[in-house]
Amino acid sequence: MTEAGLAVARAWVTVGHKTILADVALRLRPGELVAVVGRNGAGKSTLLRLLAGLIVPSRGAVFLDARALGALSARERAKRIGFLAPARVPVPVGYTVRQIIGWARFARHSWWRSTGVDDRLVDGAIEAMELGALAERPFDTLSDGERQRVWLAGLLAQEADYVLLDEPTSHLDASHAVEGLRTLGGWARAGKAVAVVLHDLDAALAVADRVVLIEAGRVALDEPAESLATDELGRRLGVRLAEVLVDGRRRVVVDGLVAS
Amino acid sequence: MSVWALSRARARPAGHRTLAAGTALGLLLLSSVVLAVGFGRVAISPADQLTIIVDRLGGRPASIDPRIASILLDIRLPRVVLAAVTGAALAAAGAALQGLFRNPLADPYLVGVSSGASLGAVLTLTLGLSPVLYAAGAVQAAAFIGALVAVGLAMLFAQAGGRTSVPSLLLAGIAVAALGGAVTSYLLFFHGERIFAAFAWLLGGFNASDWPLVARVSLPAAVGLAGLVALGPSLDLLQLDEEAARARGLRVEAAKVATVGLASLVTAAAVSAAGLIAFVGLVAPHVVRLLVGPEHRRLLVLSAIGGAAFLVVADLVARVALSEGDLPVGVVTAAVGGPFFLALLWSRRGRLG
Repeated sequence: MTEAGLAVARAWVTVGHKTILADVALRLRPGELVAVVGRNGAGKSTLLRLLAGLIVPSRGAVFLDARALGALSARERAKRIGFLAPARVPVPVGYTVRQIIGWARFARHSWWRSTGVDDRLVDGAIEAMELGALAERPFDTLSDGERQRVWLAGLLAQEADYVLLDEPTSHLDASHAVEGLRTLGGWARAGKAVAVVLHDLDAALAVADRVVLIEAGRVALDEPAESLATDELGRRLGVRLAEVLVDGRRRVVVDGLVAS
Repeated sequence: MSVWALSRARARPAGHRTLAAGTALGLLLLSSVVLAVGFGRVAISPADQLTIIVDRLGGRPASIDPRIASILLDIRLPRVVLAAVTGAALAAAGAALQGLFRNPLADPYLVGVSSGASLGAVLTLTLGLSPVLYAAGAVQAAAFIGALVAVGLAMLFAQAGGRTSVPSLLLAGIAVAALGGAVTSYLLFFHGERIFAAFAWLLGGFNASDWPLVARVSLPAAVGLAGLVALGPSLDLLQLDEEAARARGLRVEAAKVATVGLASLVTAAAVSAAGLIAFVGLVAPHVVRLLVGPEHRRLLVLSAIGGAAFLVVADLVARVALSEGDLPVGVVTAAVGGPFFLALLWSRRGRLG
């Protein structure tokens, strides 16, 4: 366990008598974007929370750069690992966009006040996610797409080098979804390790360096995106996948929707 | 760069608004103290107040009639300071619990504090202790302990799998309050001769104020207030779901326990000295939130200042409203706070969901 990275080592997660994850091993490395795919209830979200240190494995362990994740304080963990869940209730009422992005700096705050460094990073995140015009608006008045950009800006301001996102595009229209995924790709190229749970297989194969398929609580496939066999992926997910060429690059569509 | 500049330019007025609101509330508190200390059967002008206080602090013999100096220093000032400390404590506790429960209707008495304090006080009053113990503050001590025991019980029953369930805490608080209320009623039913003393205590007031009492209340209140202000950023994060708060580095469980513990500490200190004073803890945070927004650090500090000013003025009204004796201050706060809160609700109708 000396290699850099965020690694799950032969971990089980059981709740009551139900096994959610069984003997899972996975490693995230800096600079790569990993798409996690699988059927509903396969254990994708649980795997992400395990990596985020938000749940502890029943057996096995999670390591961050060879240190047991459980040994880190909540603040130390949050300095290294960012996490974004899909549905966010309740929505904080009355806070401005800037204030909510600033919450991402909690782990690095002195107890008394935010520092100048914090302000600059929050400004930078606002600029990067093009939220300048919304910065002083109450967050609860924003649309779903705008809110998602605020959460992404928060992840940016958090300065974590591991970023884990659970279905970040599920509430977004096509253009915001594309923009969001491009942002994640940019983060990976900038050196962050990004893991993202996606149901959009075309998007997963297009943006990810690696695709991990979770099937009934186990890692069924863990392959580079370009060498992944789409027919096996489709078979395991219960759909027929067709390959098409767009601008000379392989893309994947789910077949069977078009009436014959 | 232009986008960046725009957002910064807009950020500044928010800070200015906090400063302006803080200055205004601070001046309000100062002037209400000067007014309350000066008002009474013997009027004491602000200039005389200053002279008397400066003389005393400098250890000089009084240059103003010592009887007037004594009225100011031994009677009015401790009473006004106690009212201010109590108002600050109740308002800050209300702000913190509204944040924790994410509910604008939360008040400092929500988790059983009031019921526990009442039971402690009524138990002591109906026991028929020796007058020495009453003079030594037995009622206040019992109210303080009763309040903390009640909250402790509610917290105990809100535990679920190593974490504190906030909805369970709310329900457990209601159950504990009902139980305490039953025992209090039982005691009063069989000690009819003590009903007036108990009722007077429950309605609240500051006519038993002296400096030792101020000191006994101020110490826990100051500790609790400082702790709550330090918890401000944690209370902000608790507006998110618990998982999102944890992902940002918050120890959610510790923050919840600390919030309930500190809010109860300051409330117990306030209630033990002044009885159950309604509406300060509910109204003050709402007004301040309208002025500076929901961020908890500034909300807590400014609510404390505003609550202090409100209760100083309410006690002044309670003191001078009747030609003979005092009105219970709880009657004044409810009579002013109730209509005010209704007006606030009316003006914000449709926005509370």
